[in-house]
Parts: sequence; C-alpha cells; structure tokens
Amino acid sequence: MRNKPLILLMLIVGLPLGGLTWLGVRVARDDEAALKQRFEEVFATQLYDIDGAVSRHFESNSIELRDTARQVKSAPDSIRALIRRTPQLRQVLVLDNVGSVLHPDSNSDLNLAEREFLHEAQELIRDRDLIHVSTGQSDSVQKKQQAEAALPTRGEESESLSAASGSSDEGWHVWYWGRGVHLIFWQRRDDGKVVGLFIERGRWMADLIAALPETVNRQHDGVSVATTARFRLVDSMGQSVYEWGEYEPPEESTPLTETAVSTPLTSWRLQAFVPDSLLAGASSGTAFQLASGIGAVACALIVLVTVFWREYSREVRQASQRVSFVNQVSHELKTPLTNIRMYADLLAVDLENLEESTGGKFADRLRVIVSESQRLSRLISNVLTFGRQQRDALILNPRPASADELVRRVIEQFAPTLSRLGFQTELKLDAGQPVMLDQDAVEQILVNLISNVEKYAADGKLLKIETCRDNSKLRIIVTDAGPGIPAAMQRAVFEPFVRVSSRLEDAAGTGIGLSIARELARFHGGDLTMMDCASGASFCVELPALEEVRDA
Amino acid sequence: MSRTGRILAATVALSVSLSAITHASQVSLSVAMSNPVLKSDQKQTAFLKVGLEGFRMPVTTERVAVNVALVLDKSGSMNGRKIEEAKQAAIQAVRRLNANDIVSVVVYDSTVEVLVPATKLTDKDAVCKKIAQVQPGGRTALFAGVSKAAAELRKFIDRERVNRIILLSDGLANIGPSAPSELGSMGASLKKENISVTAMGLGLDYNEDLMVDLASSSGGNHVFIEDATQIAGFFAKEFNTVLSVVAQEVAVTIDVAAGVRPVRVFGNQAEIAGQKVLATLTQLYSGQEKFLVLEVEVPASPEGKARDIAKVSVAYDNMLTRSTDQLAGKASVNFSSSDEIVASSVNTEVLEAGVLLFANERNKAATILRDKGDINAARQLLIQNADYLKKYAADLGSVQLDAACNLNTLQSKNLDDVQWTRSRKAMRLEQYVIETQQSYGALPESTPSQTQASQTPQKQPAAPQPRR
Repeated sequence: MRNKPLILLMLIVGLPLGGLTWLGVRVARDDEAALKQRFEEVFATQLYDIDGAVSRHFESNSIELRDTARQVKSAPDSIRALIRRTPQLRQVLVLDNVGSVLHPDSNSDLNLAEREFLHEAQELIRDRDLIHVSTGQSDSVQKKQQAEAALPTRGEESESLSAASGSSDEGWHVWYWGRGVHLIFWQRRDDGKVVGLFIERGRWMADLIAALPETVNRQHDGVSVATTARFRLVDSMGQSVYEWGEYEPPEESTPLTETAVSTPLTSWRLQAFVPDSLLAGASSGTAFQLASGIGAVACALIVLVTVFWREYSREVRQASQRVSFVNQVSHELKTPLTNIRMYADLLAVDLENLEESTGGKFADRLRVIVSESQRLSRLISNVLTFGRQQRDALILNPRPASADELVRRVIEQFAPTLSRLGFQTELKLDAGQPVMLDQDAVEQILVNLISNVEKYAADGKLLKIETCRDNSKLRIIVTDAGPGIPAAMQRAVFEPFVRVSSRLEDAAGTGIGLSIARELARFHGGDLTMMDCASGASFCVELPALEEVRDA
Repeated sequence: MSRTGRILAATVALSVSLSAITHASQVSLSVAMSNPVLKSDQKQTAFLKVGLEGFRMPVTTERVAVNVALVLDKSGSMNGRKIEEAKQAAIQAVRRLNANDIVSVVVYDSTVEVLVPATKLTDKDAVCKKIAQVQPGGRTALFAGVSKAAAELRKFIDRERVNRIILLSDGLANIGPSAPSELGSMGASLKKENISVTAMGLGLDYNEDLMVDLASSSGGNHVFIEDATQIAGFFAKEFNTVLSVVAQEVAVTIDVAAGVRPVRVFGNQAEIAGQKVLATLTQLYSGQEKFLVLEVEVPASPEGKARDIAKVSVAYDNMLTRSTDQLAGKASVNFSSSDEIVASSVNTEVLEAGVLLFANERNKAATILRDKGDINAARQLLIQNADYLKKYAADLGSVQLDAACNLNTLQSKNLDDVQWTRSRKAMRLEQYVIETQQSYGALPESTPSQTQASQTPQKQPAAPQPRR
C-alpha cells in the first residue's frame, strides 16, 4: 500500500516518456526515408549527368568515325593503311547493297588478322545484320544472339542513334561476340554499299573510361571527405567495367540507385553506391536531437517527481510524528488521570461515611469530577486506540462475557450524565449468555456510541439500547431520538475526522469516535452499521457470538 | 664449280654489304638470307633476316625527350615492402628526368587516381612527394589504370618524344576488362599512336599472359620481377632503354619476289598479305639491333640461277635529326648443286637468329601443351628443342644458342605443379625477350630453383641428356 504513490509517480514519468520516444522514433524513421529518397534523387541526377557524358563521348566519336568511314576506298591496301593509321579501328567490312562482302575478300590475299576477322564475323555477315540495320528493316528481324534476351533489339539501338545524328545512313551497331559487346559504326553510301568500322574493343572501353571521372583523393589536400560515394559502370553481365569514387562498397552490396546507359551501350548500367553510414550519419543528427530531447524531458520529470515525492514523504513522516506525539502525551496523561479517578473514588467513599447533611453538597461536586475524568479517560483511550490502529498494533483479547452486563456497566458509567441531561434510558436486553468478547473493545464501541448520543442527540432525551442474539450473531442496537444524520453524510460519518457539523458552537468532538468504533467492530469480526429509522439515529453493532475460543 | 660458287657467294655478300651502307646518324639496315646459296632443283625454306641497328646517339647531343606515364598498382596485395619499393623506384626514375620531359603518374586499386596529371617535369619534388604519399588498399582495376594513363599521355603526344606507359602490377586484374585479348586490343590500338606499354609483373600472382599481350601488342617491354627489391633496378633499366631511343615508328615493308612464298614472320606481329609483309617496330635503341626473321619458301630452281628473294624498305622517325628517313635493301640467292658450296655459304648470324626464333616458337608450343596439363609432351618438346639448339650451337659456335639450349633443358625440369606458377612466368618472359630482342629482363640462369628439378627423375631414358 505504501508503494502505491511510488508506482503512480513512476507512471507519471514513464508514460509520457514512452509516448515521446515512440513518436520520436517514428519521426526519425520518416526522416531517414525522406533523406534516402533525397539522396537517391541527387545520385540519380548525377548518374543522368554521367550518362550524358557517355552519350556525348559516343556522339563525338561517331563524328570522328564518319570521316574515317568516308576515307574507306575499295583498294584493300588503302583500307589496310587506314586501319594502320587509325588507332581505334580494328577491321573494316565493306558490303554491297545485298550484303555480299567486298572487303575483306576471301578470294584475295588476306592477312592473318583479316582471315580471323572473317571467321569471327561470319554469322554477322551471313545474317546480313548491317544491311538490315542500314536499311531500317531490323525490326522485323529476330536474331539469335549470344546476348541476353532482355536486351533491346539491336536495330532500335542503331536507329535511335542515327536519328540523333540527324541522318539515317549511319549509326552504331552493337554486336555480341566472344567476351561481350563489340561496337560497329556503319555508314551507307549512296551506291548502296555499307561500310562497317569495327572498333577495337579494348580501345573504345579505354576511351570511355578515360572520358569518365577518376577518383579524386581529396585527402592529399588535407581535406577530410565526409560525403563519399562509388560510381560503377557495369556491363550486361553485371560485371564492373570501371568505377570511381572513394567509397569502397562491400562485395554484393546493392546500389542506392542505378540507371541504364544510353545508346549504344544500352545493356550497360551506371550504379551509385553510398555508404550506409552516410544515410545513417545524416539521420543520426535527428536521432541525437531526439535522444537529447527525450533525455531533457525525462530529467525534468524525474526532478519534478523527486521533489514531489520528498515533499509527500516528509508530510507523511511529520503526520506520523504528530500522531506518535499525541499518543505519547495521551499515554502520559493516563497515569495522573487514573490517580485522579482513584482518589476521587476514595473521596466519594469517605464522603459517604460523613454525615448526610454536610456530605451531600460535596458529593455532588465530586460526582462531576468523576464523570469529567471518565470522559477524559474515554477520550484518551480513543486516541490511543486510534494510534494503535494506525500502527496496526491493535490486539484483541476475547474472554467469555455477557453482553447485557457490559451494557449495564456502561450505562451505569453514563448514568449520572444521562440523568443530569434528562435522558430516558430504555434497555431491552436479551443477550445474557456469555460469549467470547473482548470486553475493552466492546465497551469502547458502546462508550463511543453512547457518548455520541449524549453529545449530539441530547435534544431527543431518549437512549434506547437493545441486545439480541440469533444463532451466531450478537447484536447491540443503540438508538436515539436526536436530529439524526443527513442521508448524504451517512457513509462519511464512519471516516476519521469527519463530523456532521463543524460549527464551533455545536458540541465538541474529535471526529474519530465512530471510525474507531467501526474499526474495532470489524477487527472483532463484526461490523458497525447505521440502521434506517424514522427519526434520530440508530447504530447496530454486530459481533460474532462464539461460546468459547475455538482456535487458540 | 667451286670457283663459280665462290664468286657467286662474293657477289651476294657484296650486294648485302652495299645495301647495308650506313651513316653515323642513320639506322643501319641489314637484309640477309640464312643461305645465300641454296641447293638447286629443290623446293626449300630459308630464313630472311631484316636487321635494324640503332645508331649511337652522340654523347654531345641532348637526349631525346620522353612522355612517360607511370602506372602503379596500389591494390591491397601491394601492401608492405612492394609498395614502398615501387614508390622508391618511381621516385628515383622521376629524379632522372628533366624539365623537357613530361611525366604523369596514375595509381589504381579498385578505382583509378591520376596522382600527377601529365605535366612538364618542372617541379620534381612535388611529383615525388605525391608518389611518396600513396597508400595501398583495394582491388585491381588494371585496365582502367592503363586507360587513364593513355589519356594522360595523349595530352602531350608528340612525334618528337618517346611515349611510354610503364605499368607495374602484382595481381590479377579483377575489376574491369581482364582478358589478355582485351588488354591486347587496347595495346594494339595504342601502338598505332606510337604509345607502347612496358608491363612489369611483380611477384607470382600476376597474369603473365595479360602482361605479355599488353606489352607485345603495344611494342613495349615485359619484365618478371620476382622480388620487390629488384623493382628499382628494373625501373632504371627500363628508363635506360626509353632514354636511349634513336628511332621511332619503324615501318618495315618486305616485298617478297614473285614465286617466293612468305611463310611466317617469327614472333613479331607482322601482317602478311600476298607477297607483302608489313611490320612496325615501335622503337630502336642506341647501338642495339632489332630484327625480323621471315621464313620463305623458295621454289626449285636450276643451278646457277640467281633469284631475288625480297626487297625491303624501311621508314622511320629519326629522333636525332627529327626527320623521317627511308632505307632500302634487298636479298637474293643463287643455286648450286654442291652441298659443300651450299654449306660454306651459310650466314651464321642469320641462321642463328632463325634457329633461335624457330626454337622459341616450339618453346611457346610447349607452354601451350603444359597449359593443357600434358606435362610429358611439354617436357619432350623442350628436350627436343634443347637438342635442336645444341646441334646448331655446336655447328655455329653460338653462345646465344647454347644459352637457349640450357634454358630449354632447365625449363623441361620445372614443369611440375609446384614450380609451374613461377616457371610459366619465367618461360613467357624468356619467350618475349627472345622474340623482341628485349635488351634487358632475361632471368639469370642461376635464378631458377634447381633443387627440385634435380630430384625429379627424367622419364625419357632414350633421349640423351643435354649437356649442362
């Protein structure tokens, strides 16, 4: 029970913190996704620019090759000389308008390279690829190729570039042979002849690489580089052809974004890799802010709760100190009061032995002293009981006793006061049989009830006490004819320190009488309840009526 | 009969010597047949040697300016001694050059960094400082490294400079194009721009076929550097050759006479179309001879007949006079029925070259056999080759052939799996050195590990053990 406030306080701290964290994490995650998207866009733009550089490279190369193609004459020696002086030129294929090979002519004296080339390109020549491409018939031609099925048809590639260069009589043709893509620049002459320039595969790749950026190591300039990436050009098999950028992505990592290369290398792709730490690093800012925000709120809450808790516990402590002080004082009061009562009683006996005439006046005054000291004694015992109850230190000591006798004894105790106030006492006692009772406790209950009647229902001039016993229950009902208790207060009167009226001119009281009475009754295994009645108030004490102690 | 033979031989010798008249600042051309007198009335093959000897660069003249790109592998495998030695070697090489030279430095791992863009070497310290800062790490983007270096060279490409890419790599190209054919294709293209690539393989993990193809197609040198401490030495030798270039873009045209069939040109990537043989030598070095050997098939001819074999014309860029020079020469043969005359007419120099290159072709065939896993056949071929070389070495009294004989013998003992990684590199290197008359790079004979070889019993008891 004492932990209840503590748990409450922890909840006060925990719930908002939890909510805040959850919210924060969501915000951070959204941030990360947004950031990743932004990065993707940035890098997609970069890849687009790179691809632009690639296509510009091939465009300017095709302009160069257009001139080269025009220089192709029919004499084999002149073609050979052209090949010898043109670095990127590997071989030249000249076809007539139906696709027959004019050069290299296998019927003439060919050199080794030309013979090898004819062997290599025999399929290309047989299928009249270049003729189809150059006359724009390629769409209808479905070719078996060593290339992937996913690749666009070769004709489309050639045509799109032809369109770009403003004429349809020249363009790139992509040929898959051996280790991969081979590039052919074709040109159709007015007489229908088609010249195919076969580019050195090693050369156009090297030139392409040279046209792409290299890794710039900015660390040499003393600049630490926070934003690094890796760009990669991959061929149709997904193999890296060239890459640049300082970031070294782990193997098998997936690119942040990628894009296809434009003509003629449409089966190749450009990829961008970015370290996870870059994405995480940017969002770790928000994560940090979030964590610190949550931390600050947590600190504030904890401080607040600690202050609150300390105040609270100090008050609790002070209250219990006050109670124990009152208890001690009350205890201290008991002994002198007992002495006062004892000597008052002895004085009363002494006065009885005096002559009637002189003693009468003294005896009356002495009776007031005795009754007031009894009242004080009751008050003290109530306070002590309350203190014990607060410390959970109540102990019962049941013994066989008659309830009726107890009632009589208490009434006797109150008799002088009651008669002085003009009370009419009605007793209807029907529980003479002794049962197990803690006499002190039951007496205290009765005393509290009767003193309430005396205090608050003096106007009614009636005190009615009934006792009865049915089977296992003993009932003692105390009824008065006073003003009664308003319905709204009927439950509250049993709470400690609650009084029906707090006005000073009303009867004095501590407000703990009924509370103690009920607690004692409950502690005794019974209860104290209020009964409905037409006028006044009626309290019923219900106690278990055990003949003797069953269990020790 | 013997008298006429002698006269004939004399005329042939005269014609040869006439064609070989040289000038102090001219490349000297020699065109000669292995047998100026051939046996009559039979179809036979003979060797035609076209020798080109670079003139000695006068000491007083300024040496030729160079346009060099250093391409250094800085992949993770270079870590440690290798990269440090490579950096030192590069720095030493740069220190030898002067402000007329153009230098670029390209380093690569997974990516390429143009460490020093092509520039006139006016600030050596800055270049050296940049080289010294190189840190290794990453994979091997060899193709891209050479591509970028070529682009750097092209910025200052000039007929008056020697253009050279010097590549040092210790690993397999694992990023970008990596097939020998792809590197060869690039090399062939670079050669047309007069750029040659010297491919230096470091350690035992590089791909020697790739390196040889790149060097051979571009007309550069090839080196096998077994130990990192040798890097500086090889760099120095490479620069020695680069700085001693006297002629460039040497175009050799051999017009073979009608009736005579050109069979093949050994090694050198010549193109034979009909009766015309074309070959380009990238560079000639001061005082050094490079040669082509063309095998020709000569039809049966009657005794006493003189027959033209070929006319040779050469055009080249003279680095001293800065002009394009032309040379011409021709070769012819006579026929005799006398074995004695035929034998006595032998041009030992030409025959030596022919035999050397012929054996070299067989050595290559042995490598291919070994690649197929046929160790025995490869060994057999090498031993046969050694015997062939031994015979001619004795006949011609040739030290060179004797050395080649020993080399073949040694190689025949190093074909087992344990040694193969190393001996294959050595074999490819030796083949390349012989084929291109590379002036340096041949392995000292003592280097190969022979302990293993001597323990391996030879499985050909019938074949006589060549003398060691």
